[in-house]
Amino acid sequence: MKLAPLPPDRLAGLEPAASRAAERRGLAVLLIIAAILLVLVASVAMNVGKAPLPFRLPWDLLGTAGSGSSSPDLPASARTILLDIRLPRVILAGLVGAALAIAGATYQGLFRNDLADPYLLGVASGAALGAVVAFVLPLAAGTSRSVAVQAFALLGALLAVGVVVVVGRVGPAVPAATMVLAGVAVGAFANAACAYLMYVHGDQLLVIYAWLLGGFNVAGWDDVRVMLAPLGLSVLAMLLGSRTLDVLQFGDEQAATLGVRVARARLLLTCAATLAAAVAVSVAGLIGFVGLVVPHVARMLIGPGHRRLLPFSALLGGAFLIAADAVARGLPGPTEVPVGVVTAAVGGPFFLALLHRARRGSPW
Amino acid sequence: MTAPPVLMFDAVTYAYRAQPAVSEVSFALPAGQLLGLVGPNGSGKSTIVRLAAGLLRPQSGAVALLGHDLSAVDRGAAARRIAVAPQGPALPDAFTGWEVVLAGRAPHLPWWRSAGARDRGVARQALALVDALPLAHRRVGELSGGERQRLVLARALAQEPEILLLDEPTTHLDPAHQIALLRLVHGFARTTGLAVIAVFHDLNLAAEYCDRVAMLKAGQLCWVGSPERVLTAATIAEVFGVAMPVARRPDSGRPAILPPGPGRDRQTGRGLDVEPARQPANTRGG
Repeated sequence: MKLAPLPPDRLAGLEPAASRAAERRGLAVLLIIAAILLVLVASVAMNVGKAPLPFRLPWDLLGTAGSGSSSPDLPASARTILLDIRLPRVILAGLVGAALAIAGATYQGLFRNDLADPYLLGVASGAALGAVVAFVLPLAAGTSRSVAVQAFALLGALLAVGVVVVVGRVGPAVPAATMVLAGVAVGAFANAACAYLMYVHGDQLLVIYAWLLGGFNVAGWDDVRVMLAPLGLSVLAMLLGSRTLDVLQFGDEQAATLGVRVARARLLLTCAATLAAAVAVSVAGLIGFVGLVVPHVARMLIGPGHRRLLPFSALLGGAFLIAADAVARGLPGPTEVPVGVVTAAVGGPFFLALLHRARRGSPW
Repeated sequence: MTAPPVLMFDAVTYAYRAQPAVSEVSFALPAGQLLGLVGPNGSGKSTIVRLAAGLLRPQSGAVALLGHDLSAVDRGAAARRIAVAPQGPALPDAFTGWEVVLAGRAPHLPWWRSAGARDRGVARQALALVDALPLAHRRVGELSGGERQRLVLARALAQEPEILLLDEPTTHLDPAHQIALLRLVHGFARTTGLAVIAVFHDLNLAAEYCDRVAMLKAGQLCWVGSPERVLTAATIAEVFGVAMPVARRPDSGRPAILPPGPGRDRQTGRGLDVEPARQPANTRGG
């Protein structure tokens, strides 16, 4: 059976995006706005830090990067602070925020569950356990520690999400209540195992503890370099799978009649989201609530379609974590506040509000 | 007249755990035919729809799509030929009507691609056909049951299938939309060779619109044939366990099943030109 396509002009204004071009424009405009926000936040964040440097506008920063070290108004030390300390830190925070947010948005879509995020699923704790194992493991000479941390973090994260989904699932869906409970249980176990490993390996305690607390205070270009390839791969997979995520919103059975190989699609997308979350945890430690809060805010702003939601979440997540990290740096105190404290201070109340709404059964 | 079957059930048996849902069901669905499934609650109608959609795998026997074993057909290929409008389906509340219907194009797109100009045109046409254009940018959460049902039908039409499976398509619809839907589907069957299996509770709609009616009882196909032959007072009494007089419509010659009145004397349809109701053959308890 074939249908004769109806031209768009027959129903002026009835279809939300009357043509593909219009939707593309809409998507482009949204993404450009989010990208501008990201750049603005990053520019402001570049000016936050313990070293008192004169406030610099984005184009001044660009000039700093472009010019040689002999720029008259800027000593070489300031240039080093900006380009080798603050810039990689801002970029890393942006990448980690984007990774956590897009992973959260994908989990929420995959499990059709508002509360799914890397943290609550136990993925982050699993990744942390894997990373701690990599920290205490005697490595063969020549093996890169950061690559080992990433690999073990991914392994731990996949194990955690596997257990949560297998234990928490009721029929084809993973209901919010059982998923959160299973996630909490897996997280508690992983945290206990972490604590034990740290207790046994007292010599590494400080290194591991500083890493677990999370944050970007020792971030350098190496961290950025090491996460680019795996993060790019997982983000690409999630973006390509966004239309499949949309179809999965109808539930497994309807998705199957719409041509989706449900089990395979779910496995692939889970792995992609978990890879992104594990990479984020392995470079930045445990940073909660980004993956939960940001996708919801993005959904409120632009609706549930994953084609828009995923890239928009990534950009918002990047901006959010850059801002949170700047706040952590800028707050008065003898040392820096861990960035996880800032995200939790914003995310905790948001999460409570979310639970409250979920209990009343009102979608956004 | 005898087109080769697009869908064939060959001695299909399926049981949920130990409870047999359908047993040894065989029938052939030729192109262009509208087959109605009728039967009491729990007689296996929805199970047949799910078997025909390839959602369930027969435990014995086989379902064949154009001569190929359906359980070996790729999901995407099956979804390009078979569309399902399930019964009272759960739809994502936050989606707009447009997003629901556009999902019907999914089987025609590679998984990394989004809908193109023709896909959008087809989705618009599908919405127009079920009188749902104004629902395009309403959120599903604020729609009535009948409006959702029309969206789901539009989504199935947007799949441009060769076989359309409708599980109680008219349940939530008002009479005008019931008739519009059945005329639409009937028209597609006549003009494009669309083959349709539709589950009915309203025996009169089944009688009037179906080319053939299959009557199920406890998972077994009791009768398959023209509405005149299958929907008789005797078969209805036997399968549904209720005495219903059956008249013949003067316009179409199709059966008209009359619900019996509240009193005993009104169960026979006296005064009408009807086949008198029969008492159920077996009056098993329950």
